[in-house]
Amino acid sequence: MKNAMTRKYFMNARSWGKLTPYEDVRGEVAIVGVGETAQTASSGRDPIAMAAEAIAIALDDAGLQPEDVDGLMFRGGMADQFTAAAFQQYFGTTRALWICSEGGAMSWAGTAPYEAAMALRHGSASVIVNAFTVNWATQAKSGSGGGPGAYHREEALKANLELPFGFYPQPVYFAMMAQRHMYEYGTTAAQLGAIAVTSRSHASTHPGAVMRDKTLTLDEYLATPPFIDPLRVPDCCLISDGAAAYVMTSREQARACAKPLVSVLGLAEATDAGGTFFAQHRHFTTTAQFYSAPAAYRMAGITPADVDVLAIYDPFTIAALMQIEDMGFCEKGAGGAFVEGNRLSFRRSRAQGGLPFNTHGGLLSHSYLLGMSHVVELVRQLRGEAANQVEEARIGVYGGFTGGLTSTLVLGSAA
Amino acid sequence: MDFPFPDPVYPPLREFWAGVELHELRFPRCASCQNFVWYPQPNCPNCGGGVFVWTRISGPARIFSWTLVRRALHTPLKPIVPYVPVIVAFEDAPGVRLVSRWINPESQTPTIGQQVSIVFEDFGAPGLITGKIAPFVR
Repeated sequence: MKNAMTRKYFMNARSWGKLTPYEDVRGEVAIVGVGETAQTASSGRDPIAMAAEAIAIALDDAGLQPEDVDGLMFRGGMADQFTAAAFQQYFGTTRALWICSEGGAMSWAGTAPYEAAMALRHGSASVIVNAFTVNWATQAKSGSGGGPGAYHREEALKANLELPFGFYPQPVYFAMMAQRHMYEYGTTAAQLGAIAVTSRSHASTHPGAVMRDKTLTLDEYLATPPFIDPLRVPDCCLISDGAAAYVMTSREQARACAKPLVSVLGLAEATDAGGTFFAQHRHFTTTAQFYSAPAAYRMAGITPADVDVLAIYDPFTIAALMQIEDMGFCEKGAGGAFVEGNRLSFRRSRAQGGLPFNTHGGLLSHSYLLGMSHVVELVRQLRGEAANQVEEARIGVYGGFTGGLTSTLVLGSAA
Repeated sequence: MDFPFPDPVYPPLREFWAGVELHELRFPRCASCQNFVWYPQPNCPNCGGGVFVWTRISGPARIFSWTLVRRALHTPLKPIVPYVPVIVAFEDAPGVRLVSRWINPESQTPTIGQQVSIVFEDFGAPGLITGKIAPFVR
């Protein structure tokens, strides 16, 4: 297990994950509007009001009116999400809305466009909003609400086999993955630190980031003692309040919208056979991006070399590192050496050997919007209006992640 | 005590905790293809079989991964901090990974790949007495 394992090894092994069967929807959907509220520490703000604010900004960005909206996506099963009733109440519309609860953030921030494509095909909706809102900083401060650990705490097998041994919450899962990744591949703390440092650097010059104007050097990172070995505080995502939304429509309708066209070129979703039981994932240090990324590239007709800007769901530095490997940007196990130095900086383009990554700061330093801000950032990059603009960004890829589920979304500025 | 104890009569795991009471580790094995299926599932993901035989494991166990939790991340676990959760793999039960804790007065942390012994001690070991037994490693 010490040697770097190749793609061939995995493909020959008994299947440990599978793709969700998707029809080819290349070019059928465009993202025409993006919006975010301020991302903050505990604010006491109402999550529904925050979602409404983000949606209003996104519609304005697209040059659309609330009456134009006939579809709404949100995350089913999560508290305080924005529903059709909220939409009509906040925007004073009476139009019936096509509703889909397979939206929201995390992996679904990358697959909502697939559900939208199906709705567009079937004529169920023509202008579709996907929104996500979270006030976990406020909940954490007040001690109310479920917070990020609730799902894992309440799942019966975890509650009986993991929680009693202290295998909870998420930092414990990912610390163990980091420990194992270090054992298998020789990954170092400084290499994980490179991801944290670059993310902070991007956030420091991003006006919407919680960590704007805040810096972190690699020396400062290494001087911070681990609190759950080998993870340090800067290896872990922020907990913050905020909302974001994006608006989708057909590529034809998109041409009438206000901003340059950004289309969905490819997407895919995959599941690890171990589900959300990380301890039982056959390949503990590999994510289902191994399956979803190649499928999304195939639909888009691209290879990893064509990706100008990358946004990865990064609850922990190790989660970003594993996905960078699994999405094919370097050999499996070589991610540590790959991310060293300024490789991930927005200033170092692919042509210069870089891989601009989480140019807004990600979950580590922008906000805890669970991937929605990642997609928002990619759209801004592909329009050429990002705070940390990557030169000539034409293809942007989002790697989404939720437990054993991953998604890969390929966006392109080229019509 | 609000320690997060398991429910010993939760049906899918009743055999597991009954074994622990006897200081035995038992895992479900598919009666038709003989593969271990862990965590318990209604059907074997390998062959689809629905009959499982809970099989006692006594062979070597090794550390698959570990971490050292230096501060409480979940209030009910505060009394055992600092602690070392581990994932353990078994030579004679391929595919089974058990989440446990490292309890060893001679060394604060294990190393990956290290062979370990299973010990049955109080859930709160070493410092907290809860009156309930759990399988740990050392």
